[in-house]
Amino acid sequence: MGAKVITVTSGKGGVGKTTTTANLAVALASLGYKVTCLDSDIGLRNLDVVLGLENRIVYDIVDIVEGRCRLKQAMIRDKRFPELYLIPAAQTRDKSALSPSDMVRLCDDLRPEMDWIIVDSPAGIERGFKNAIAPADIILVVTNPEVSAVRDADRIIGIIESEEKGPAHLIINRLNISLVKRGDMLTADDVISLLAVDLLGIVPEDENVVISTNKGQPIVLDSHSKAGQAFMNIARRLNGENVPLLDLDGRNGLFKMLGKLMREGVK
Amino acid sequence: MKKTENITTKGKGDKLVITCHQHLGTEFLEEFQAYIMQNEQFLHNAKIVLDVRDLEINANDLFSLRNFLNDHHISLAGVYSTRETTNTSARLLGIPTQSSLNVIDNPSKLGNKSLDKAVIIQRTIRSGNLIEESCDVVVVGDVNPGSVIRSDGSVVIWGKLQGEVHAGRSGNKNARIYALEFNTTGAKIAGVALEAGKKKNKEPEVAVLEENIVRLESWKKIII
Repeated sequence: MGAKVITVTSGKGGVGKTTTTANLAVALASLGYKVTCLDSDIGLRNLDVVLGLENRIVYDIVDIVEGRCRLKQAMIRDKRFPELYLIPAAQTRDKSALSPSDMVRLCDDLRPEMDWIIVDSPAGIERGFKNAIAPADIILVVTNPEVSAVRDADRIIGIIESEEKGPAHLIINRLNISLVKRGDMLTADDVISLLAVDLLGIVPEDENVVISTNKGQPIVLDSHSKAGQAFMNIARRLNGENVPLLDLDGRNGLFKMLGKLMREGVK
Repeated sequence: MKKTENITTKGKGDKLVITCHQHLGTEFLEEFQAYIMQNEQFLHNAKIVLDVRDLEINANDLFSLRNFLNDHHISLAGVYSTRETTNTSARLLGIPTQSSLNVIDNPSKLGNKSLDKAVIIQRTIRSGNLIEESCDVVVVGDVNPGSVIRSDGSVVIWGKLQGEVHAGRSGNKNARIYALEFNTTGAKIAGVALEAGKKKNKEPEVAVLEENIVRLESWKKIII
């Protein structure tokens, strides 16, 4: 049995692909799986920063493909989880340093030894994106509840379908409940009805994500954070568990419990 | 004509639809060729549509099959299959497939007497998709922002229209655009754009070209 390859992509930049990749990798590793993250954003690498592994890079993905090092030499082991590895992107090269078949070959070499391989895709629909989706078994499309991000997600889902790599799964990131309630933000339902793909999870806006990203400590390690819980739930859903969506309404606590008690009391 | 259990022939319009009922696998080609030879006289000069159900045929086999049929003065007018591989092979060779052969029984009700065919597309038309057809287009699904449909005939959308649609592209003023929800400013009929300033209406509507103005009317009045 080999690993499954997940590619995290979005079309638009800045929606949280790298954050999602890092958090899902840490979440799956914390569930006891062997996980390798692959940064395919050659020239604009930052998965290493988000994972807090930046100053341990010696070799990168292009070094492996061009034969300057063995696969194992470029795999950085995370000290928090002994079965979590990162293969960083090259910073001094560009997307043309890799081809889709290089990515397929690299993932095939990794598959026997891993449970999950998570590929962080660059923004855009060009070479880098094509490289990232080439080895994928599962494609996760990350979007924000904003018109521009949803348009780009729609475009990218169209390309995934035409390359017969689908169906894509959707993650809605940075949903701001108070904006939605005021009617100033697209709701999750608006996004799903336009994109017409399976929803894998909704991650609420959480300022702690920025702090944790800067520190190189993925938010999923913080069990009090709603965003962290949401990423953990997504990882468990990928693993085949049936986890209900988080209650993001904020109306938790006494009133909700009372309401539930009253309804159940009437029965 | 002689009969074989696995293969049946049925007339449809000016064509004969030959259906292969059982999964014959690799023996399919031999059995089919034998069937053609047996019925050579009956099939002489016929236009046939081959319905191979879930059988996978690669482009090479389909190419030699078409040559075989041509040698026997039979023209292959289409291939039906539930397998994408087979459909792709057919498209590669320029042989019509099921999606391009689906015929709407009474096209005149779509405001369009000259055309007799429609392409049926059963998926969401996404941003960046471009659909260009010389016949009517029926979409079962939404047409998302950033997509473009151009047709010489009418366009019927069983979903929400948010993309760009140009019906009657080559000047057919009777062409129409139907949608369950009309939410676009990019609708044109025979080069005339939909008049602006119309408020959004969450009801089925149809765009009609009259006196050089494209207007939206309720779709409920029209019975298809």
